[in-house]
Amino acid sequence: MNHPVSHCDREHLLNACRQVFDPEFGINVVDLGLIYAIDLEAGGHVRVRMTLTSFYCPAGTIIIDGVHHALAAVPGVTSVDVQLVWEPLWNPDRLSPDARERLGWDETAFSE
Amino acid sequence: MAAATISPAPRPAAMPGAPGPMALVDGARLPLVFIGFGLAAFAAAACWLTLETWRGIPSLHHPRIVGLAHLWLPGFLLSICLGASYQLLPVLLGSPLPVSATWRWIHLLLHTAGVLSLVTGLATGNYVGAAIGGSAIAAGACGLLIVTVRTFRASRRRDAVALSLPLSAGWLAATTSAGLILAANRHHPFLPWSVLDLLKAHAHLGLGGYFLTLIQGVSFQLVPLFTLGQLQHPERVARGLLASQVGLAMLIPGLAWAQPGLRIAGAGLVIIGLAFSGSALVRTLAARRRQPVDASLRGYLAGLGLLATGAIGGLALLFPAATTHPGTTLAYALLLVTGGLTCTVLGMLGRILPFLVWMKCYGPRVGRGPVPLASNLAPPGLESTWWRLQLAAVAILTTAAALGSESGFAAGGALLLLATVLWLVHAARILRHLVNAGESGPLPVPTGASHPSP
Repeated sequence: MNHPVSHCDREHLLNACRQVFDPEFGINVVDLGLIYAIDLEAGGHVRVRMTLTSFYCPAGTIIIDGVHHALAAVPGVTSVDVQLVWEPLWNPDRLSPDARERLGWDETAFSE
Repeated sequence: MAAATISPAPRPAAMPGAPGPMALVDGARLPLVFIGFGLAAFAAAACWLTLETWRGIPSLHHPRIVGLAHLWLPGFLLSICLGASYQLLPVLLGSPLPVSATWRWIHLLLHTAGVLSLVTGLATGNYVGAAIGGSAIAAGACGLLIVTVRTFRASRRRDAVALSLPLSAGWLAATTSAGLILAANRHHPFLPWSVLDLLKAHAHLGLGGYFLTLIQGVSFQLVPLFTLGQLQHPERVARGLLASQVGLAMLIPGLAWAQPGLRIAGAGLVIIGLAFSGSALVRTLAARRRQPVDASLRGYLAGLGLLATGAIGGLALLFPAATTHPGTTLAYALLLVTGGLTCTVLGMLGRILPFLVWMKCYGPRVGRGPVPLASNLAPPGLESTWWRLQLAAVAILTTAAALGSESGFAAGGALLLLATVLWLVHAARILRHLVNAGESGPLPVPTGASHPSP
């Protein structure tokens, strides 16, 4: 469903990011916890702060470019700026409950 | 609506000293061509081995078997490792390759032409042809060493994973150079030592020096990556690599110059190194966040188990009593090469190959429309059957070789061929996407978006 400029909000932007999946695990970048901040500024400019699961992620460029394209396709977005950050470092605790379930993460095994 | 502008993807890292993500090397084409050549060599080598098993239990030093061993090792296993290395080097070291694409394609040409000439020459007794082929492979290996060392020097990463890359490249250059010295010695004998001992040293330079060093390092990057885990006990990884390197530095001269004390101490240190690495790997796997262990990883872990078993068997072979049993050396070679190394390399390739194909075919479509997952490019059933069959085939082959059972040896060869066919069909299903992915038409461009500038 397309939304006009005035209805483009953070949730629409996050939904766009959910189209970008890690090719290895099949989990989108939002549920992986890679998106640290996403802001819609005046004039439809989107600013994203995101990270990768590792400095040495071999799919890094593809994932970052994918977030660019997914956000640029949102109606109302006029420009996209993705900033790659390493602080705080990503760790598995950033996974969403849905992602944990899909990975077969046994909460009790890692509760300590 | 105004057209959205997409700023170029952020290549520099925000944290000082941290590497940024690395792009695919030559759009994944070069790694895929290396791997494709390796798989073709694998198919040919498996057929050849099966034919040899039907002829009876061979001598390891028969020209045909020497040719087959070089088709399996530099032809199949090394080609795949080279393809994966060109992709992994800049990613693991966080620094771009400091050579032009032209050199990398020249390396491919040197390697493929070299393997064909080397294998044909060795199998037919044309040692001049073999030496020419070996020279081409050695030139490529020395070039790779220079590339690896320069990439390592430009990188800030200084752990066991990073260090294993120049170390293994160094061992590879030493292996190929030793092969050339042996070829020259055959033409004009000048070395005062036993040729059989020198051949053993040459084999262990490659098996232990190149392959084992690479596996002992790269495993600790790839296993956490594929299981969404984090490396545990990095100090054990470093100790494992150190012990193995010192052990190899003692084992190789010990084999070459028939020094029993030196080679037993060296083999013992290699096994201690493997024990350190193994304990770190077990702990890393236990801390993984992705719980199911897939077929690729199972095959890989089975290969590591066989490598450890082979290393212990190799130590046992160094004691005089073991060498009185004919066939034990052949069993040792089969366990290490068709078992340990083949399962380890194919297990890891089971993850790397779909990833490379996915990156090439579907990577540019990410964020613009639905794409399949790398792990879904081929159904996992064949791979799951493959590693079980491969283990059974290796068990039968090594037992039959050690006991001198020709019928068992032939049965093991047939089973190995079946396992090979299964894996190759699995690989073909993945590679099919290189052709079929284009059938869905041109890439959809986001509404009102322009492409990022390079």
